[in-house]
Amino acid sequence: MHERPRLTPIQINRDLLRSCLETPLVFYVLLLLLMGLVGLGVVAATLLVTYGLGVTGLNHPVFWGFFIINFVFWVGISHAGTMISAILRLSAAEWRRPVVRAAEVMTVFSLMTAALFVVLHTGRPWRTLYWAFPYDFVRGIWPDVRSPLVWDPSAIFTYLTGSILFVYAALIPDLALARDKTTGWRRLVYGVLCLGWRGNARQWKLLNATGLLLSALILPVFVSVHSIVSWDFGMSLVPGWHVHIFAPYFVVGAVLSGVAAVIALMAVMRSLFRLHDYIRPEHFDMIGRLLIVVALAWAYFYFIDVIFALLSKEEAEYEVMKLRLSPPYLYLFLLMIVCNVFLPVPIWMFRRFRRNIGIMVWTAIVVNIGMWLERFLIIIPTLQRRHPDAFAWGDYSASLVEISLVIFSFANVGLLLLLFSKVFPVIPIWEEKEGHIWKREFRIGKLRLPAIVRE
Amino acid sequence: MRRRDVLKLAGASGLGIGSGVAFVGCGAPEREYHIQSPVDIPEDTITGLDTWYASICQDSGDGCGVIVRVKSGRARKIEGNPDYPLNRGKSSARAQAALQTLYNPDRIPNPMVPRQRRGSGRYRFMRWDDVLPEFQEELSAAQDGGIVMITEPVNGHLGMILERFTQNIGARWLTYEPLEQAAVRQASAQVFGTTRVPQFDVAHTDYVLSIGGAFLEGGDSPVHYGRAYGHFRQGEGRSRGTFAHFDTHLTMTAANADEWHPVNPGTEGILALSIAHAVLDGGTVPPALRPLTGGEGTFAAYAAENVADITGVPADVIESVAHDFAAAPTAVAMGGGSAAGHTNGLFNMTAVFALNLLKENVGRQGGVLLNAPSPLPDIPADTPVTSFQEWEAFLSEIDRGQVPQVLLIHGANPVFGLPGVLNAANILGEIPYIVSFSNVLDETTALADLILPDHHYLESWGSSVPPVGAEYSTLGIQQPVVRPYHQEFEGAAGTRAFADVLLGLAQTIGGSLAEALPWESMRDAIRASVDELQARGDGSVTSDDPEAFWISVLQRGGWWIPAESVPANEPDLTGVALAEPDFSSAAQDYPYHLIVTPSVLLGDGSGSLAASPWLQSTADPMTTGVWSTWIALNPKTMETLGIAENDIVRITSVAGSLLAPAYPYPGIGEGVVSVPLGQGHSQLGRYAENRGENALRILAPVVQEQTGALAWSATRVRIARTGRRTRLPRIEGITAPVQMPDEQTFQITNETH
Amino acid sequence: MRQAVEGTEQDTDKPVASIGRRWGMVVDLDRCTGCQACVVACHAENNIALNLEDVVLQQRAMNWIRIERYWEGEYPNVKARFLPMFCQHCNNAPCEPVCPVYATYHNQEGLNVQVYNRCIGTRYCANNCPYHARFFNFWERDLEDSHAEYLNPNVTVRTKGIMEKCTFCVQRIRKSEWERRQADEELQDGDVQPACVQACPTDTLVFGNLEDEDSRVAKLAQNKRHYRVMENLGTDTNVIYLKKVDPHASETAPAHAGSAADTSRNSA
Ligand SMILES: Nc1nc2c(c(=O)[nH]1)N[C@H]1C(S)=C(S)[C@@H](COP(=O)(O)OP(=O)(O)OC[C@H]3O[C@@H](n4cnc5c(=O)[nH]c(N)nc54)[C@H](O)[C@@H]3O)O[C@H]1N2
Ligand code: SF4
Ligand code: SF4
Ligand code: SF4
Ligand code: SF4
Ligand code: SF4
Repeated sequence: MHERPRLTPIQINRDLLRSCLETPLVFYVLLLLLMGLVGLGVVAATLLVTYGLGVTGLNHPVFWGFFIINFVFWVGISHAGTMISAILRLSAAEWRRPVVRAAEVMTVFSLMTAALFVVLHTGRPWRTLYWAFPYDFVRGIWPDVRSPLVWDPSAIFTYLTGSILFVYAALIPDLALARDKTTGWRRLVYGVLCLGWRGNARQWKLLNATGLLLSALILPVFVSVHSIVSWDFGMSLVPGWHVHIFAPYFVVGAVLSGVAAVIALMAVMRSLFRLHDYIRPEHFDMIGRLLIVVALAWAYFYFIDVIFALLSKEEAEYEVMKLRLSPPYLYLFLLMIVCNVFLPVPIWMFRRFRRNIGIMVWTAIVVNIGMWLERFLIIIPTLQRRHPDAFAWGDYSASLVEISLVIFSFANVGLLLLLFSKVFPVIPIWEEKEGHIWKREFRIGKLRLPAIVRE
Repeated sequence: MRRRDVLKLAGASGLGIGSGVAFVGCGAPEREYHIQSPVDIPEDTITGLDTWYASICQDSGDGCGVIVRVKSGRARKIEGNPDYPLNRGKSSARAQAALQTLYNPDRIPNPMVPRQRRGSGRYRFMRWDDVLPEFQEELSAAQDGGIVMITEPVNGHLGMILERFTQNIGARWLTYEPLEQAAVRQASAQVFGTTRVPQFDVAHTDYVLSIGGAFLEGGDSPVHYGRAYGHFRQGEGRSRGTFAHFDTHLTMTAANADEWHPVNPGTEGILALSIAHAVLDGGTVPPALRPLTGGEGTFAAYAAENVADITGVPADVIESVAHDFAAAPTAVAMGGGSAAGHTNGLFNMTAVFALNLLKENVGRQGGVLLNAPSPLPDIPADTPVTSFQEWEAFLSEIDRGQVPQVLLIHGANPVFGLPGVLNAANILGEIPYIVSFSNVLDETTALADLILPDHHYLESWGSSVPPVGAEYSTLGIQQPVVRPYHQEFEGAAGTRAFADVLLGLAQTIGGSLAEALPWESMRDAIRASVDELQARGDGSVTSDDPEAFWISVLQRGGWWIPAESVPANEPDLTGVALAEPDFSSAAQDYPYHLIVTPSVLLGDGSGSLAASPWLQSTADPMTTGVWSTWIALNPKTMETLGIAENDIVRITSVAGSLLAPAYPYPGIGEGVVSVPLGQGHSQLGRYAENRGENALRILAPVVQEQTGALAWSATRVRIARTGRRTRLPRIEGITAPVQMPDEQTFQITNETH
Repeated sequence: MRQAVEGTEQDTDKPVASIGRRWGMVVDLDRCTGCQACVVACHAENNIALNLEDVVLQQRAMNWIRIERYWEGEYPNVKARFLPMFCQHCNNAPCEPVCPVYATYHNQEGLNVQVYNRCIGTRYCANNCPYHARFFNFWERDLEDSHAEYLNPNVTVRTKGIMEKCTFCVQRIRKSEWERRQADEELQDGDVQPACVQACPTDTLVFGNLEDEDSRVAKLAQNKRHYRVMENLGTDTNVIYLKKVDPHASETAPAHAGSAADTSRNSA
């Protein structure tokens, strides 16, 4: 890593623990803003639960709307964590170090947010929690395991559990560090949380093994989660949803939106916590390269989806796709394609742009707008027409409650991340140091080259 | 597999390795599974027994027999009375909805007088004991002819009581029918010799030719004709009947025909004669028809190719329909609808009915059957209907200063139904003392100085002679199936049956009135009639014991006896010659024909049906529109005028204008506008008030000369955009549903057997 | 163990363990006039919430049975076709396997049963019902006191947040069974009449046990005009339609409304 500045371990400790130990004004401003937006969501959710789903724009036959779009979107975002951590960790991509934790934590928080939407979107949320688990031992009733809605919670909670373990395991050495750098009650809390970490060889060995093992184990979960989410649609009898390529298509889409979200997150952390030395243009560069592949793969799947619908002899599916491709949805469709492929991919082709953090943030935002639209286009027009000869075609416009809850979801993930950053170091200190230790360079003329093959 | 089974398995395997014995037998005892099955719908459980009472539906004056499910003292469900000859267990949307007019939250619970002044909209509840003496005083004070009674057309015991009451108290009795069927009745009188329109034997005929007749949705008992229609199409033991229909627009009835052809408004009679011409195929006109055709010589003018232009029906269509009509072993020709509402409605209807004479139909199975008479001579099967001309005269009399002292209103709503230009509200308002017996606050009742709310018909006694029925001579008995919802308590409040109030008055006033109406209550009057029937010793119920007979008659919902077929009368068509239709105004200023259509659900709006949210929210069969009024226009007309679906459109006649959203209606000619009736109430409670428009209001007061009836199809209008839009509430989706060619939801075959 | 709790056991090939009873309905399209008596009868029998104007405008009206009107052709050769549509009680019901909590399942009599107290309101079943036969309670019902008087005491009043649909008037089936049982008798053909069937003036609707070969419904189901709506989906419905007879329809090209191109019309 030729751009990494030389930093002493002490400096690293100071820089990376700063977010936990100091509280700048901007933190309070952000905190208030996000709490306000979350408060708005709480009000909206209260209305929703009190008056029922009547307060949404949902209707007959558009039974699913913003909540499910948002659910799919946040599950998609959650794919960033594993993608960055597990895959890059297993493939030992060195540039991952500063971003793994933020990405993993985002996974956890976006999964939680996604799960919240599953509950909120049901007609009787209080009952959802009650019935959806195999609890009713006395009467001998199980949930229906044939329903993708039973697979969903299983997949999500497995992924959530795995991700929390992942984050936590990687936190232990840093918690120990925090314990050592704090006094009083904080020291006590960090002390308990770090599970007696002393940093001896056996502990390091165990930690490494855990990291690798968790990485390997979570990978299949990672693939399955969005596959299963896609089966909410794919397993149905709804033309336009009943599509065989939905699973890989959804996974790739998830990675696209998730990784793009990581870019935005990195940029925010970089400026908020003054981490310029740790999150550097070359990281954006690497992610940009990855995104080119993912975006093109996504485009391929989308193309297949459209083509199969248009060329198939399945009249119903043809009609649904045609609706998606005619105004007003055509405009959303075009916007989505531009946002997901035509705008960002050419930009990412250029190294200069990939290393321009401002541009990268904008492309990340654009991609996520595109991915949100993609979910919208899968769900809304399809439900509007479902079976073309059915009697009750409808339309849909989201209500203020739904819009508030969408805003809430972003604020909620942001707020949780902000609070996390207040308590835990957002960049894994020990991994960063590890990177420094592994970095030995030698010179050939003016060129510096890494001495180890770990890059 | 239940969890319990899993546990058992686990327990058993646990036993094998010497541990986990505790599993066996733990869990819920078996019987607890049956306490409430978690996968049983609560409807799977049985609750107690119901009581069913037979009565009569009075919601559209057709008087279908009903049975009412009563539980915990409340009416819960209405079904057709399976025994009752008219409807044989079947019912209509309206009959079903009677529960909502019974338990209408806006029913008037007590006698009321307006606070301060009439029409203030605020009322004071009164005690019957306090208001009745004053009411009686007013009646006694009125001079001869100073009392006017307005009701809906009624039959049965109420008809008899009203007739005797008005006669003996010296009152004038006006009945009000918004879409007057005078032309149909008089045509029936001329062709069949009776004003009671006969029963067209749809169930057994091979061919139905209907010119305007909307027998499946209105007219005389749609339930009766619905049953007959089902049999006509696919009844066992017969081949499928064929049905051709002509009308200005595609009504629900027309939509059920095998072929529907649009006909120019007002030319239906000419069309019928042209069909007659083609049926006779150049032969001689039967003598009976000669007055109609203008003799032998002019008959040739009705050849199909000669009238194709006037009627708008292609000559080959006329000929093929005539051919089918002639070739069918049995066929009936029915008429009605807007064809009867033109100035030449009588000519139209007579010409249509006369087609039956060509088939020598009268009295034949599959033909036209004359209705059996009422089983009791003094219980009328129908009452005379006051014509529009008489109404006009009545109102202008008041306007000129001949104001009656007392006006009594029951069941009719002329303020709502009469054309707006008659100014009925203001003119009737000049009458110093107005008493309404309505149990909902309708537009006419809003004028009243005293409201004496009637029971709902499910709470009171009455009777009915069915409007159609050749097979049986029937007296249907309407009995209270529940106690009044607003029950009287020691004379203080609550509702009271209209007939009982009249009978009570008769007793206190005494004299000839008391002699003519010797009963204390409607129940006594009916009991007396039933005793008469018992004395006959025949019919659907017989018994030596009057009490047992009475109870059986109530249980069966009435009494009936197979009727001998009524012999055909000589037709007399004199005085009904060809007449051109007149219209309210010149075609250049008002280019479109306005056809008002009674709603299949709400009727013409004169009753309180609009107060039922079920009827309000049930789809109009053709447009699926609900809760509202719309203007049905041909899509081409809309295109020409630059009107889009849901655009608010103004239609203006010489008599006024109304605003409603446009609905593209593929089944209507480019020169015709159709507006459904039933809405546009300014009163009638929360579910009906201030929604939609009342097209009756803008009808021009054009009169049918021969009958004196309102020519309600004679109004012409112009159409204008307003630039505003709305969304018509409807049950179909946001776009009219269409079928995919490959997978049809609605499938059709052309094999008739 | 197989017959554990009714309905929770399903065999994919033969969805319902036969108990000699499979309720079904025949709808003779040649009889239906579109009069809507069935619609109001169903509302009255089944305590369906009122479809107030707002609710209709929100496209949330609930009609367990509705009369679908299809336009066909253009003026003056235009036809309107009426098709009564309600839950088809599919033997392979797409709505059933997607319900996470068994709130909708097939019972042994061929009924697609909706268990209100289990339903959590995911609306997945409604998405998956090709017939648009399921209705969701978006609001808590707003019931006038006086309108509560006529509620059917045998039928649940649904609360907000749950799904409902035609039950084939299961309460009437139970009642008839019970009445026969009191007399130690078997259920007879014609004993059970759902509300819509009983009201329908034209006898369009005929209800009964499809597994009883002598029943009226089973005989009618053999009529050569029979077909099922969206049969290609393999839902194996217990509602059988009899084709409308139109002597003027041409043999080769069955009449259809509009072209496929029209179906892409939509609102902005
Ligand atoms: N119309 C009307 N309805 C009412 C009321 C009313 O006043 N009028 N009152 C209401 C009130 S206050 C009440 S409390 C309820 C009462 O309603 P229920 O609880 O239905 O009362 P019962 O019918 O008295 O008893 C129920 C059953 O318990 C059985 N039984 C008796 N002893 C035992 C026993 O030891 N073990 C078991 N397992 N069963 C036993 C009886 O044989 C009977 O079949 O009714 C309510 N319903
Ligand atoms: S047709 Fe008239 S009388 Fe007969 S059930 Fe319907 S509303 Fe009642
Ligand atoms: S019609 Fe719809 S609701 Fe009824 S069983 Fe079939 S899929 Fe389920
Ligand atoms: S809405 Fe109710 S019945 Fe339908 S799938 Fe969800 S829980 Fe099951
Ligand atoms: S069978 Fe019962 S629940 Fe189903 S549509 Fe008919 S009346 Fe309604
Ligand atoms: S009641 Fe019968 S005829 Fe009337 S719409 Fe319903 S199914 Fe058709």
